[in-house]
Amino acid sequence: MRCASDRSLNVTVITVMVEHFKRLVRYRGLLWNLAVSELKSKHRQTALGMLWALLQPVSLMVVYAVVFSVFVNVPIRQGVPYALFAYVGLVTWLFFATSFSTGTTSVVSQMNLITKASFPREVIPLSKLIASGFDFLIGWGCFLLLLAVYGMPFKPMWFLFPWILCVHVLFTAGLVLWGAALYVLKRDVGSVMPLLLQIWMFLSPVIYPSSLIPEKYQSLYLINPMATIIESYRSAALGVPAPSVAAMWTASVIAIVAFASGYAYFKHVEVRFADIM
Amino acid sequence: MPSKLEINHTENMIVFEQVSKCYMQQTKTLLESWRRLGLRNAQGDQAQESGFWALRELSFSVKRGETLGIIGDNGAGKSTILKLMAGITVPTLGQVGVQGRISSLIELGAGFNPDLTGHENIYLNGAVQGLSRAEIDGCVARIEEFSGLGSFLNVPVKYYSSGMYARLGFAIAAHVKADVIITDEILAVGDAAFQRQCLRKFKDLQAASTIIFVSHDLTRVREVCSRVLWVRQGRLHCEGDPDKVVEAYLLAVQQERDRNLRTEVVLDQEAGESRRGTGEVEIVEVATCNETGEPRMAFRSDDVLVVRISYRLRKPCHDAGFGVNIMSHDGVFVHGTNTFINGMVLNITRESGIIELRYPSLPVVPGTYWLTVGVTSDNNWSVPYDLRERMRKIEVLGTRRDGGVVCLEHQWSSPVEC
Repeated sequence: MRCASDRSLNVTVITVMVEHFKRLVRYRGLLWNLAVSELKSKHRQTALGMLWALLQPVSLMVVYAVVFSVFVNVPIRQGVPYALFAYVGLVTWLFFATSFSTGTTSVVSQMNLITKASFPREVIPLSKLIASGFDFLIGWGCFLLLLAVYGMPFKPMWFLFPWILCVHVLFTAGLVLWGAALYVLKRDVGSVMPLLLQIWMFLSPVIYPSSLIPEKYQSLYLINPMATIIESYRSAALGVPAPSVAAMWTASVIAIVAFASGYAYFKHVEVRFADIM
Repeated sequence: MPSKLEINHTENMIVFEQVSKCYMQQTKTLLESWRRLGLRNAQGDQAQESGFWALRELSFSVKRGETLGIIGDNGAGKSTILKLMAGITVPTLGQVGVQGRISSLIELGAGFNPDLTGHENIYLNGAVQGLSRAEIDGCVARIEEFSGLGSFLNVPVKYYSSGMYARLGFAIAAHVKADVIITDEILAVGDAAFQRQCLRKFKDLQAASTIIFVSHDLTRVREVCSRVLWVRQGRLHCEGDPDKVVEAYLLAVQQERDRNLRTEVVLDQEAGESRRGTGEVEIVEVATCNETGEPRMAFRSDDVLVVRISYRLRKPCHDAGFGVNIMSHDGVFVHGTNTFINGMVLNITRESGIIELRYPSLPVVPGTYWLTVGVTSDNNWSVPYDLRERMRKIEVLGTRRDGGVVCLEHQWSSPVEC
């Protein structure tokens, strides 16, 4: 039996969260379905179809490679081509930025579903995360090809990958949930988003190495989890030195806090979604 | 979520206890919030009360196997009740308890992705209802067959007609196994043949599930429901036997109309009326009255119906004649007559006047009927002076459940066994 009103419920926050999570797991089919539908409808009427998932990071890489290794000579570590260096940063950043921007507007754009059917609302923004996750995977597949093209020795630090992927996904999911919930309540978020992402990208080592930042600002710079995440991916994939353990710890804690608070906040305001729209 | 409201009788599928729902007005900008803040300081708590109470202290329960009808005017709170049942929104005060799986497609085809094919949308829509892939696999063949869409199932639904869209929506909603099915105007989709198919399916569902049925088609409500709630301005006005509640509701609608008749000087056109004509003679107003001449909207089969037509002459003409057609709600032409058929010659010379048509009884099955009233010359209805189609609606009341349109006199004999 389900009860729609639990005002004076005397249970801990954890129990409530676990219940929410169980319901989310029950609706995993919907999560998957929405993500696949998104991909299908995105690629259905395009001439190149799924190729776009490749073309986006590769074309950006070409542009940045020309600008930053031919016009401006960005000093990066010897032996790593700038194109590969920028590519890892772009693939990582695009997953975050695409999830964040599409996820934020997702709940409002699905208002027809929200006001007509009952299901855990977080599946909508999280499905956007999965949809951009497909592009992310294709991006990494393409990376292996690029390695071969450049004749780079393939000696990744594999052990870093599971950890960094967890931090990356948790942090992105947390921000997507915050963004989606806030966007329903205040549409200002939609106007702030592109600006925020633009500034954030330049504050992250997407197209330049974080070693360009003066030593005294380094610790401040690495508070941005995206900086640590991007540098860690590079380290894992290209063998450049990894960020400090302290920076990795900071990023992990921030990611967990972002996800937990984002999920809790989303569930807290979710009951009002149907009324507000 | 753990339940707080215990459902004591296991037969109760839905329980509403003192449920109130208030929709708060959202302050949009900081500037507005600032103004409201000033307002609140000046007027105390009054400004805070800008919410709209859609439901107030509503209590009722729905038993297993019931088909509960909910009727009421637009804005009475019917949709809010459905949303509370479905768990789409939560009550401001009071408690809502629901047992079992609910199929909560309040609007057919809500959540279809226009770029996906019909087949793909079946899976998407099933997932919205909380079905697993295996469960959808189990019923997808029956859904596809019921929809009758054939090869169109492989076409994106954005190319569907509204009828095809509704067919697919109904097919999915009807084949999802649920303990409680919430429906809103669900039987009013598609063409006549599909509506019959829907109605048959609906009767199968009635046997297996508890159904909440919201509709403005009062005839259908009486036909399918076992109990009816009448919601008025967010409160439960009355509940009980479908025939009685619907009749009481129609009476109230009638009284409301009477009040409006007295206050309004110029009457609005009925919604859905179409009017054409050359305008030599104009039909100003048509009233449906009972024997004593009082305007009425609801009649019993044995009541007298008087159609009182007020006309105005704009240009002199001596050959004018009047006609009245009666159509059933689904467009069946029930009866039509005019002064030419009856061999009357009306010499209309004065500027305005009234003519009455009297039906001593209405031997038709209970339901909604529409009147078309016209005036023309020489029985020429293709170029009328004034023809007002579907301009008045009457409701024929009664407990007879005969099918069709006309109540033919009939008697069954006892079986003679041999």
